[in-house]
Amino acid sequence: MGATLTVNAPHVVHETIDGEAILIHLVTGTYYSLDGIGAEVWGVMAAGADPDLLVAAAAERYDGDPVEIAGGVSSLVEQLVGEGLLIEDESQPAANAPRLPAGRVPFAVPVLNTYTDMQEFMLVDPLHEVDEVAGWPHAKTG
Amino acid sequence: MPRLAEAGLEAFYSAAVREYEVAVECEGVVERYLRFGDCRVRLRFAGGGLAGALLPALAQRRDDAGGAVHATIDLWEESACPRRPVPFPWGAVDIGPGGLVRGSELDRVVAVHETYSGALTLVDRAELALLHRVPDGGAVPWWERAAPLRPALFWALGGEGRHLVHAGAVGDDRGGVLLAGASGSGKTTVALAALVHGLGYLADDYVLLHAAGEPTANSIYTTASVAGTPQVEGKAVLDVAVSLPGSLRESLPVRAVLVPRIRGGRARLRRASPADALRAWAPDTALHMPFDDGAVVAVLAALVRGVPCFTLDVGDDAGELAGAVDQALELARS
Repeated sequence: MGATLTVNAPHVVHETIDGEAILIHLVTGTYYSLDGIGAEVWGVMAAGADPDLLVAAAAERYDGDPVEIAGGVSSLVEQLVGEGLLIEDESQPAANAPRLPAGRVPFAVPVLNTYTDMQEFMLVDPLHEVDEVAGWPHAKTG
Repeated sequence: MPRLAEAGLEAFYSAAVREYEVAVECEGVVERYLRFGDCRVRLRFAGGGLAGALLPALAQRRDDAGGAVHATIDLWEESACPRRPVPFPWGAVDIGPGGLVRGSELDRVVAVHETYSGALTLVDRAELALLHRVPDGGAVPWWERAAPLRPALFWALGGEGRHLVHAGAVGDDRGGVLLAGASGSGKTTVALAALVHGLGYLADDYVLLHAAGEPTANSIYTTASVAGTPQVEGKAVLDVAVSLPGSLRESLPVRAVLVPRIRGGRARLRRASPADALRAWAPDTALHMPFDDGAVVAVLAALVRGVPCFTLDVGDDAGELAGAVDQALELARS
């Protein structure tokens, strides 16, 4: 990695509530949730953390196999980039050091929960036909 | 990803204004005023045909009492134009989710083109002046008649803590319950169950949420779109203003958020976390009307943090569903 990563605004909007991060990609119609460690990683990355420093910060924050921790958080960041939630942006100021919460907690591999049930709806309006019986936003079948 | 519109949105807006003026010269103007909470909106129709298609669902919002106008929407039919209407100059690559055609950040005009119906909404964001053109008032789809002018009202009513959100709303003197969730989740089922069992009705699908201060739900449309059956083609559109006018409520303070889920069997109400409610509601609302870059999500997050949230397994018994809504209102009070 090494590039400055930033939230893909305005196409991505996010909110963290009760320790769960909810991310919505307004262009693809896919939305995501992260809890626990995943939400913490999202929080620091959305705040402009340097991904190269994330593994070291995670090793201080999480109890567990260092290799598993490094692999888990790096894989998550790669997923966030792959899904277009984070993008490389050289125009952003230099990335800052990740500020994960204080204290140590057991590590569990973070999971990016992906929801695609709204994607059909995104396609229906306006570029695809609407089912005249069910009405908007239901797609024509068959 | 849609590109920024290369053709000038402001130039197109000006051409559309001229087209509207010609339509008015031909058809005359029908002026109506509607009130939504503290917003008074003026609608100026070129001719009466389109008014007949779009106004029934908004009839209860009519306001002839006077007062300052918050926004103006000028409306006409392409078929009313003696000259060929100004063609829509953008293609699929320019059109984003929800039909939005976006220019640069500095552009004061945005456009929403609904490809299926051909309806076009243009918004001068600085003046809150809006244009709405449809091909033919006689061919407006049934779902647009049930909930007309959504993109126009999104901008006309939005701002200063007001948001058009995808939710139903019912309640009584104790306050209102917002019914949040995607299309097909059971919002209309629960809203109608509450209605027929004596609760007040604001909406089954869209409400104007006023989130500044005490969160308040304001009714927009008086319709409810009931799912079709093999005996009835399409959805039946029930106008509560006609069927049960005494049950309409114009606005209620929001006391709870309820997320219905079609399950069948017995209805079951359960406490939900704010995160559960937001996950069920925010993507749906933000993607339904993706015109504000998701700004509504933070508003919904603040709301679900501030009021109790519930999930409701939508069963087969309307009385049980109404009872669950009543229970949610009681729990919200305790």
